[in-house]
Parts: sequence; C-alpha cells; structure tokens
Amino acid sequence: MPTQSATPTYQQLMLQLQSFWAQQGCILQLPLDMEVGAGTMAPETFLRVLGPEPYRVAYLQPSRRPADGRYGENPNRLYKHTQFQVILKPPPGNIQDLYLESLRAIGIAWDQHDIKFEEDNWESPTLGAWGVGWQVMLDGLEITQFTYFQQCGGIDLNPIAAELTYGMERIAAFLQDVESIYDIVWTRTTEGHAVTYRDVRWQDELQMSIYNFEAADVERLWRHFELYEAECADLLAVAPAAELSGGSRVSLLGAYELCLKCSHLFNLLDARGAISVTERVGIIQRVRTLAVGIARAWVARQVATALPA
Amino acid sequence: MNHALLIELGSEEIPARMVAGLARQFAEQVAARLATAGLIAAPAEAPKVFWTPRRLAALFPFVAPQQPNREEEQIGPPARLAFTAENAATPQALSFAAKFGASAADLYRVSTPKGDYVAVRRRHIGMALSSLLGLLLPEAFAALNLPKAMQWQGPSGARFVRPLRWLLVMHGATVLPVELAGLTSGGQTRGHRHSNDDHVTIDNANGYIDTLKEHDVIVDWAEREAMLRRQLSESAAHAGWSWRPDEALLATLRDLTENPAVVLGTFAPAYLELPSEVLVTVMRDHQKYFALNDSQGHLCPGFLAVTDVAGEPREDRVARIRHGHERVLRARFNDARFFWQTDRKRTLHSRVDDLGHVTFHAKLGDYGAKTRRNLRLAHWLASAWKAETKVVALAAQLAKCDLTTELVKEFTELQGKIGGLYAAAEGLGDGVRDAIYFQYEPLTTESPAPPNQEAAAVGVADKLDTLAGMFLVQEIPTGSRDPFALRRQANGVIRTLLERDLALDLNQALETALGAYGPDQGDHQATRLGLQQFFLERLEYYLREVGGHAVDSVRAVLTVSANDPLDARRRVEAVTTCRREAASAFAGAAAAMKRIRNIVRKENWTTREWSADLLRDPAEQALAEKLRALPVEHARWQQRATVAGGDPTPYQHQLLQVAATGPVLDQFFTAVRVNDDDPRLRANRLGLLAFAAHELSRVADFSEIVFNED
Repeated sequence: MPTQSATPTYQQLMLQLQSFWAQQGCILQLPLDMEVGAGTMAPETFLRVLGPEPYRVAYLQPSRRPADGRYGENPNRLYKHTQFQVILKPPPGNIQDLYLESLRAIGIAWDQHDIKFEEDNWESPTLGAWGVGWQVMLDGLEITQFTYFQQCGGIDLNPIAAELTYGMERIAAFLQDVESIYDIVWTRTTEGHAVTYRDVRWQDELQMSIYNFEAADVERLWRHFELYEAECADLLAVAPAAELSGGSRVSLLGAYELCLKCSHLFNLLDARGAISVTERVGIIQRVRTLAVGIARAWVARQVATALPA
Repeated sequence: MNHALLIELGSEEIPARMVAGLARQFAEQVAARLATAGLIAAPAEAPKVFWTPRRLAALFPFVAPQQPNREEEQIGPPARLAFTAENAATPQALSFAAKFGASAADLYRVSTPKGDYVAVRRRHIGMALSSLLGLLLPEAFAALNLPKAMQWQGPSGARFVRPLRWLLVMHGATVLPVELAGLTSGGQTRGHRHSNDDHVTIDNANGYIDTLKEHDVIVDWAEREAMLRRQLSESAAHAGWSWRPDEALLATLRDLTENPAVVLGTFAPAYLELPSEVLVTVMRDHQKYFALNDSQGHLCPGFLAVTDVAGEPREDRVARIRHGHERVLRARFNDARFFWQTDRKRTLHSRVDDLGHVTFHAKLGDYGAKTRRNLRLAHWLASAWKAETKVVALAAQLAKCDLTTELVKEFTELQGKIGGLYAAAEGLGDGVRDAIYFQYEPLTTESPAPPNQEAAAVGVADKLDTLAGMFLVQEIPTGSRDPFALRRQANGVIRTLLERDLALDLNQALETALGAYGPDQGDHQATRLGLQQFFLERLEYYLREVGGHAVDSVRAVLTVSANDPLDARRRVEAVTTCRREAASAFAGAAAAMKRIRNIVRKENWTTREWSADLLRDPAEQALAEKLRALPVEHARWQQRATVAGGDPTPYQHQLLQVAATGPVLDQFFTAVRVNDDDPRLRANRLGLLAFAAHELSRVADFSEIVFNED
C-alpha cells in the first residue's frame, strides 16, 4: 500500500524521477538506442565514469536480458525491464539523503517504511568493472542498486562515481500495489481509461521470448558476433597509432557500439543454449578484451588531449 | 581530571558481516595506543564497544586529559672529558647540555658500568589528549584490517569499507578537535535515519547510550540482540507459534538495524504443499525472515520480519510494512511453486542428457562427464563397502540432474535436496532418495554425514572426483583462497568415513578417481601425492580437534600411515587409551625408540637385515627373540580376546606389547656396544635395531611421542 493518496502512473513515476534528478543538476540523457543488458553498459556510464571530469547524468534504460524472458507469463520477470540510471561523479557527501529524497519525490514516504541498505557489491567481468555498495530494500523488496564504482575497464577511477539504478517496474508495482507487473497502470487516456503495462508491452515480451528461445538463427548469430568482433578489434588496433600521429580520427565510440553488439549477441546465443560449457569462459574473455581495450584507449586519449572525451 | 573518552565514527551502512569485527578492532587499536601513551592507568579497564550499521564507537572509562610529565636521563660524554680539573664544565659538556636546552648548572655526574659520565635530566611535558589523539587515531585507523575497502576521496584519501561521514570525540563534556580520514570531529552525532536528525548533541561522553536511545538508536549490540529475541518470542507466541532458531540470521539482523522491530506476517496455507526446505530457504536466504513452528514442530504459514523503524509503533505503519513483506514473499513462493510443478512434468532420468550443457569446470567439462566419472567411482566404493550397488548406480546417475531444474537454477543452495525430493516424488525409493538428498553432506560442522553406505558411496565418489579433477588442473587451495571449497569436500570425505565406520584405501581410491582422467590432463602422479598430503592435513586436524587426541599421538599414528582414516582413528584411540592408563610403561619404550631412531638416522642405516648367527651378546639375542615372538603372541591373544569381555582392542594389545619390550631394549643398550669394531657385528646390530624400530612402529611411531615423566 503506497503512502500517498495520489498514486502515480508508470508514466508519472518516470517523469517525477527525471524531474528530481534534473533538479540535482543531472543531464537528462535519452536511453541508449541499442541493445544493452543494463544502464551501466551505455557509454553515458561506462565511458563517462572514466577520467577526471565531473559528470551528472540520469536516463531511463530499457535493459534486455534474453535468458530472463518468460513469454509474458511470469508476473514478476521480464525479458526487457526498465532501469532508471543515475551517475553522480564525484558522489556528493549527502548522496544517501538525496537518494531518500528521490524516493519521497516519487511518493514513497520512506520514513514510514522498513528501509535497509544491505550489502551488495557489483562486478562485471565483461567490463572489467567493480564497485561496492548496497541493494536498497523497501519492505523486503529490492528497489535500487546503489554502487560506488571503484574500477572500470580495469582502470582505477579517480574521482569515483556513484551509480543509482532503480527498478522501475518493481517500484511502480509497489506504489500501485499490484501483484503482477502487467497490471501496472502505465497512463490514462483522456477519457480516464487505464492503459496497462500489458497493453503496452505484453506482445513484445511474448514475441521476443519466442525469438530469443526458439527462432533466433544460431549460425547467423555466430556470424554476426564474429563480424562485429573483428571490426571492433580492427578499430582498436589502429587507435594508438592514430593518436601518435596526431590524428584524432579514431572512433572509439564506434568501436564501443560494436562491442555492445557482441555482448548482446552473446546473451542471445546463451538464451538459445548455443554456447557450450567449454566455450563460455572464452567468449566472455573475448568481449572483455574489447571492452577493456576501449576503456584504456579512452583514458589514453583523455590524457593525451587533456580535454573531456 | 580523568573522564570518559568517547570516539564515534559515523559511516554509511557498513555490511552486517563486518561491523562487529571492525568496531572491536578499532577499540583495541585505540586502547593499545592510549595505554602506551600513558593516558590510561594500568591495569586498564576494557573499553565499551558499540556499533550499529551506521557507526562504530568506543567508550574508554577513565582517560587522563594529559600525559604525565616524564623525566628522562640523557647520558653524555665521559666525565673526564666533561669537567676540567677545577670541576668546571668543558665546552664539550656545554654543547651536550645545550642540545637539550640545559646549562652547566644542570649537569651532573652519573656512574655507569662503563665508567663515570655526565648527564642531564630531560623533562618531557606530557602531551594533551587532543594532540595525542590527532596522532593516535589515524594510526589506529590505518591499522584496521578491512575486508573489502573502497576510496571515496581520491586515491590518496582515506580507505574504509563505506564512506565515513562524521566523527565525534568527547572527553567528559568537552569536545576534542581531532582530524581523521578527512573528517573534523565535533560533539554531534546522528539519530535514526527515520528521524532525519543529523544534529544530536551529546552532552557528556557517559550520556552516549541514553542520548542515542532517545533518538531511536540502540548502540549496544547486546541490548539490540536481547530486544530481538524478546520480540521474536512474543510475536510468535501471540499467534500460538514459536520461531525457528537461527543464530546466524539473528546476528545478521542485529547488525543490520539500529532499532529493530519485529513484524509477524502470514502467507496462504496452500504454500505449505511445497517442501519445507524450499519455503525456509526462500524465507531465510532471500528475505531474511524467521520461519515459525506450531506446537507440533511443523512449519506454519507465517514468518517474522525484522524491520528498522523509528518513532512510535503505529498500527497503520506496521500494517503497511507487513503488507509489503507479505507481497514480496508471495511473489517468491509463486515462483517456487511454478518451478516445483513445472519441473515435475519431466522425470529426473529425462534430464541426464541435458547435463552435457551444464558446466562443472572450464577445464574439466560438463556435468554429464562428471556423472559418468562419479558413477564409476561410486560403484567401486559400493563394492568395497558391500552396499546395494543397484541403488548406488541409479542414485549416482541421477544425482546431478536437479541442476537442470528451474527450482535449483533459482535456489542453487538447494541442489541435492531438490534432487532427492524429486526422486521421492517419482517413487524411486528411499535408498535413491537419501543418496541424492544427502550427497553434499556434511555441509557444516553441525550437520551429519550421509545416513547410510549407499548415500556415503555417492557422496564420497562425488567429492573424490571433484578433488582429483581440481588438483589435476591446478585448482589447489591456498591459505586465503579456496573457491571450490575443496577443504570442506576433503573434510566431508573423512567425516563420512569416520562417522559411518567405513574403511577406505585412500591411495587406491585416488588412483581410481584419477584413472577417469586422460593422461594428458595433468600430472597424475604429482596430483596423487598432493592429494595425499591434503588428506593427511585434514585427517590430522580432525583427529586432533574433533577427536581430541594429543598432537603428538596423532602425528605418531599418521607417520606410520594415513592411508585409511578409519584405521588411523582406531590406532590413535589405542594410543590415547594406553597413554592415559599405562603412561609409565610406555615412557621407557618411547625413550628407547627415540634412541634407536637417532642411531639409525645418524648412521644412515637403510636395511633391516640381521642374522641370528651374528648375535653374540645375550641381550641382543633376547631382543631378537622378543621381536620374533610379537606377532605369534598377538595372534594367540586375538583368538582368546573378545570385545565384550572388556579386553583391550587389538591395537591396544599391540601397543602393550611394545611397552613390554622396554626392559629388553634398555638391557640391550646397557650391555651391547652397537658400534663394535667388527664391521659384521656392527652391521648386524644396526640391522637389528632398524628391524626393531619397524616392528615396534606398526601402530604408532613412538619416537614422535613426548612422555612427561611424573
């Protein structure tokens, strides 16, 4: 049961959260228009946390995890869920208070609830990144991952960045007190009819589960993976030389997008059961090599040009 | 005036598993330095240590505001160089004095063993507490052992487990200015998060506990724990139930809250159709709830959640919080039920081929391969133990199938148990069910080994195969890293053998296990040796710590052989009994054994050959005769002895025989000169001694045992 009488729709929740963080000086970015598994993987996080420049950004991020698909039948699990991602670099001294105020801004009177910060450290082997922090529990429900990044792309961060990742569907279901995510009221029409999450997303969940688990062409997925991987590696190979010759015509962001493609293709192949036991470690290592290479080149360019990348 | 010294470090939420250790460490480090600085009178009263997720604090009862002044004698040049004939100070003496701000009048003579010197008395004015803390606290802080540290002020800034946010240092009613970890101390702390009060003034160090209590923070961990226990019992009793004890969970929740308040929630009784293992795992591991029992000890459709709230407990707030917890639990139980129902649409057997897609280890392949290896090894063990091979074969084949089920994918800690439950649901029989269910036991020091020989065969085979494979590919545990819990697996093997009285030729078992791997998969020989050593260490530990046997008894027994844990235990039990009941009889034999060992080692004598023809002295003939008679005597004894008759065990008898050779050995050393001039006699005597050492060390090597003569 929410603690405010006017329960926000899903849409209002998104607007309120964006508004709050905009007031904290965050750039409201658009979601990355590519397949990613989490907001952390978007360049707005992965690359912006590298280097010395302060930065504040907030963005919604649809996050695809093919293996989590449930054909629209599970009331709590989705192939594509929505995160709200906030990066504060460096983290302000009152960041926890700010976070709690953001909850109030979306209608959670947190001091009337059981709120706990429970240890939950984060690590991404594919990105060479790790941090320490918490999962924020609200009456037994995890609603946010709160992480102080320490390393990214194998590089120690200075200054560090704090990442707040809110689970939008969970929070909406909590506020609206519904048992199934699909019953979340997304918005209301001008006549006042409720448009539900089901109305908006159920077909996507069903059809993409079919694609991810049954229809995706494994052989073609592998070919895509190898093409993207090779192209990314080639771009990275010329990066240092281009820098030395004073050229700055290297597209690290182009390389990174190719790397993200590889990561998503790995997830698809995994969901199709196409990755054997012995292959798995090797493939993760291949994607990691690309990601870490890009991060290093990114930092090297920052040092060389002494300008925000 | 001596007052209480209060130091509080305010932090963002410190992980529950770390906070108690960090608080105690910090208090100890500060206490030690306060004592060294002379600020605490000895013997020092131990500081009171407090902690919550958001603060570590230490309260030192009587601390001086200042170090005592100290006088130190500083010795300078020899007196003959310091004073002239007229007893005036020389320039050398004056420059020495000047170094310490003294003048000629301060110089005096002092006699030392090396002669007369000149000296001055140096006065150290004691430093004030606040200045000392400025040096002491950063040192104490830097000495902390942090399980997983982070930085938040830059690479050269402070490191701690979470960002530090405030510092309070008070001496009595006085705030002391100290800098630590980028913070400047003040006299204010923070109350409970819910009260949103960041400016709680502490009037006096001794008022710390009470002031924070007024702001809904219970800083004393013992008080928090007592509160929790009381509330858990009361809430459960209110519903006519009792809470399932879980000390680890209790400690975690105690350190996860500043002001714990228990809430009782319920769930639909229909969920009780699910196995209690599943329900309790969801409640405890995923939600940190306590499960409840009814008066018959059955699981109830309820749970106890521990919340952290401040202010007056209002019914509407409690209801709201309860509703939230119930909702989350319902969702999790729904998932579990869905998995339980969906999984059982397939038999375990239909999943065997799927194991080819489940990784065991990158270098060791999938679980399909492991199952085949386990099957072979389990069959070998079952034959050796005369267990039911059919049960073992079926169980070993299906044991890993639950890894492909949705329930185990979701609740990985239930692997094995879920397999057993599915086997029971399919009607595969209790034998198969138990063998699969208990295959990973013993998982903790409290849980028992698998209940019967069939289950033991399956469990031990699995562990031996894992150990063999991991060691083969160099995944060998170090002092600080054992990611595959190999120590626990080896301990599990030993405990299973000893708790179920199962004999095992470890060397043969390891060879059999390694035989399942190709010759190119690693160094089999080195692996076997490494594993033998690994098992030796585990067995030594077990016999010592769990069996309670003396460390030298254990060593004496394992030096002879560590190849069969059950046999080793029987031998060490015999040694312990004999040492307890016939110590003096053994002392003589042990001393003689040590002497023999020393001689044999010194001469580097490697053979045990001797000939009766070369025995000259009656004493050496008596020894030879005694040694020859031992096995005959023992066999005769075994025919007569019965366990029920209260006779010693066979090993005890053999040890008593060894004790009885004491006088003969002593006589040998008295009468016989081992290093005879005749090389043939000398060689014969050394051979006889080496033979004696061997014959008398069948149960234990007495040269390892230290007997204290009373």
